[in-house]
Amino acid sequence: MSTNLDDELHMLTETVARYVANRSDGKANSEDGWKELAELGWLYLPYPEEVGGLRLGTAGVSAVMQGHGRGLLATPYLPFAVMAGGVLARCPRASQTLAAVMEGTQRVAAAFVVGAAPTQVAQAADDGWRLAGACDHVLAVDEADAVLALARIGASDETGLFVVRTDAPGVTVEPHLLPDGRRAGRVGFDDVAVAAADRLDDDGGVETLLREVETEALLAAAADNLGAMQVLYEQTLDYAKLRRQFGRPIGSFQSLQFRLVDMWIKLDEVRSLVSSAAGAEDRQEAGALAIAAWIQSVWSGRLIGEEAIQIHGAIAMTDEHAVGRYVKRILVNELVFGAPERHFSRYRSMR
Amino acid sequence: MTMIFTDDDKAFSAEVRTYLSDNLPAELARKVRYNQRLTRDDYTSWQDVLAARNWHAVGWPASAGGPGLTQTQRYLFEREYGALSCPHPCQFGIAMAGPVIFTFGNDEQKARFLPGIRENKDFWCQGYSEPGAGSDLAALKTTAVREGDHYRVNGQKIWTTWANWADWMFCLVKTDLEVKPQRGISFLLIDMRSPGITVRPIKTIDGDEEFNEVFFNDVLVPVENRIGEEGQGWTYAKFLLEFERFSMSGAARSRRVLSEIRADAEALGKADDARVAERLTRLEIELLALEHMELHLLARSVGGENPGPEASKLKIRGTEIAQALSRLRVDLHAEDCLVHSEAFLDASEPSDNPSAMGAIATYLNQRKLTIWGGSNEVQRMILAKQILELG
Ligand SMILES: Cc1cc2nc3c(=O)[nH]c(=O)nc-3n(C[C@H](O)[C@H](O)[C@H](O)COP(=O)(O)OP(=O)(O)OC[C@H]3O[C@@H](n4cnc5c(N)ncnc54)[C@H](O)[C@@H]3O)c2cc1C
Repeated sequence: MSTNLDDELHMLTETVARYVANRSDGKANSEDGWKELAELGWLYLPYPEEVGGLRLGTAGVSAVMQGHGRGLLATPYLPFAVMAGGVLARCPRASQTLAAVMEGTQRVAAAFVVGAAPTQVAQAADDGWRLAGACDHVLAVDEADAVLALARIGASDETGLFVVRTDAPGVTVEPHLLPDGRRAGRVGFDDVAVAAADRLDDDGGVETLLREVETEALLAAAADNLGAMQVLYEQTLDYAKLRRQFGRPIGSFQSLQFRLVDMWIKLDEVRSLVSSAAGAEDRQEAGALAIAAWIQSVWSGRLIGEEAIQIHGAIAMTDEHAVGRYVKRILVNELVFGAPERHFSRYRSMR
Repeated sequence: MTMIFTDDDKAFSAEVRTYLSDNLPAELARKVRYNQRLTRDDYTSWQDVLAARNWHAVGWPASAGGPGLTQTQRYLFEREYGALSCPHPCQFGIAMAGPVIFTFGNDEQKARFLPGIRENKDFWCQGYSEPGAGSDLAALKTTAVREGDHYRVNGQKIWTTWANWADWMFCLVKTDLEVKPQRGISFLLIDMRSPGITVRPIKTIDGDEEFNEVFFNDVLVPVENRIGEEGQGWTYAKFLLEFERFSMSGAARSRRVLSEIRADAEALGKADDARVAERLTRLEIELLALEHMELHLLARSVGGENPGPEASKLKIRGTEIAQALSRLRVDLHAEDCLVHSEAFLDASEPSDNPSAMGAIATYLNQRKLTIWGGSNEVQRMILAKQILELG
């Protein structure tokens, strides 16, 4: 990595930290947040220079995502910029949409689930395609102008990529709250007409493209987890030094000391994997590291979350306390992006 | 020593099972089964059903107006109870205030308070913990200063479950600030309608309103509401902690939850998934080990031995298993748990997928099990010191 790039990354990290510190606990609404991210230029980060992006790549995304986890930001950077944008950036036909996404004037949600087969079907029609089916738990879909949907092409096992406006006739969006307070929704396609030009892929090649995007999404999700568990660790450590029982700080009890040390190690495992995955030169290795980072972030996140509650005692059982919000964030991430076991074979295939 | 159940014991079990299942309203069972929030009325109307058979104060001796069950019968009762989707009983009156009153109270206090508890007329809460006194309960600061026939109580309790519903609180207060902390504590029964009491509900991590802050501002409590001797409150509180531990394995409930999860796995077509099957089997065996630890302890107890602090092992394993089950339910339903609906949790709206809908709230809520009732760290300290004799 050149020093120049290192400097840029360093600056980005500092900007992210400042931004997060000024946004109180992710309560700011995500619509405003999106404008802010656009103004900060972060919507250009995930894409290569050839398509108009910035060159900080995964390392930059990772810094922004750690900030999201740390500040519990609800802005859908991961699904919109990394997932939907990641697909658009790989489809030459989508260059205009991508440009609007980078500017922040178009918001495209990702109506696909990492590692899952498409639940939509597209039938060829005279004027293009007809889309039917539904996709669940599409993150922040109620804020999106359009969705990026995967669909099986007719009866084949081929997958096509489509951009569909959320106000197109036949598209329904049923939003719901996620357990951590973020929003998602079910997108339904009832025989929706899609113009031929809105199918983004040429026949074939979609699998590789999707795998790449999914790998980037998993690394971004790992970085979100990392930011969140960093806070859990720091708060628990601080609390153990502060909280006194039996005339001493509870952090002076050896049984708790050992557990805090284990939390610190589990955190460091994730930090190491996330940072190496973002910095790896070799594509194959970067991919394997990214998947490993995600898997480890779930394992570490569970342990750190449960220990954070236990070591805090009753106070962490309250709705007001930050610990619970971070625990929910990590848990929701896991359920959205898939438990470790779901990614084992993907990891093995990349090793 | 193994536990052998006689024909009479088995008949008793059957009697309990029949009565409970005949009288448990389907709607209530559904709420319990799907981990929806229960109202005060849900609890009290069910406890009325128990009280009608004198099984509300099920652990009480006949001398206190209870059913006077043998230890074995009590165990069997718990087993049958946990096997059905009955609401977890509100234990503060029947399992805490009651036993302290019938063990250490005077005749007047027994006559005044026991019937209300036994017959489910009065709702009780436990005022032990304070902001600065959790595991280290003796550090409590709420004071009670004697003024003639009254104590003047000032201070604050916290995490007081159901203080917002309660008629009465049993409460630990400082009556002597000079002596060693444990010796200056007294045990008071406080009418929650007394002037000067403010109750502020605190939302729990799963969005329910389960516990509260309670503030005492010059609250006058008649001296006749003090249990036993002034300065002896610590002894009564410790007596209760042991009382509590024995009933904290929750094994019967965990067995029910395990079978529900297995049924869910089958319905989802995941029962044969190797990883799911492995976790279910593992938890089943861990649960079996817990059940048999409990049975052996029961056998010793029936044989006249007092297992004392050893019962802490049941609390430790029972709570760990219950937590592992709540986690397994989340893992099993995975993304189906992602829809958060307050209306479902409050049982004001049905769902096509109720088992998944309450899973995350339950997982979060069950984290309390290893914190309260003497945290699992505290239980391990007790075992280390008193059973393993490690200093
Ligand atoms: C849902 C819920 C309901 C409750 N209801 C009631 C109620 O009705 N009435 C009531 O009086 N209280 C109630 N409590 C409070 C409960 O009894 C306390 O939470 C418990 O005693 C622990 O105290 P704490 O939370 O202050 O944690 P702390 O005592 O501050 O402990 C924090 C952490 O340090 C650990 N720790 C403490 N000392 C040591 C040590 N020496 N060695 C190793 N580890 C140690 C603890 O195990 C814990 O993990 C409730 C709690 C919860 C969560």
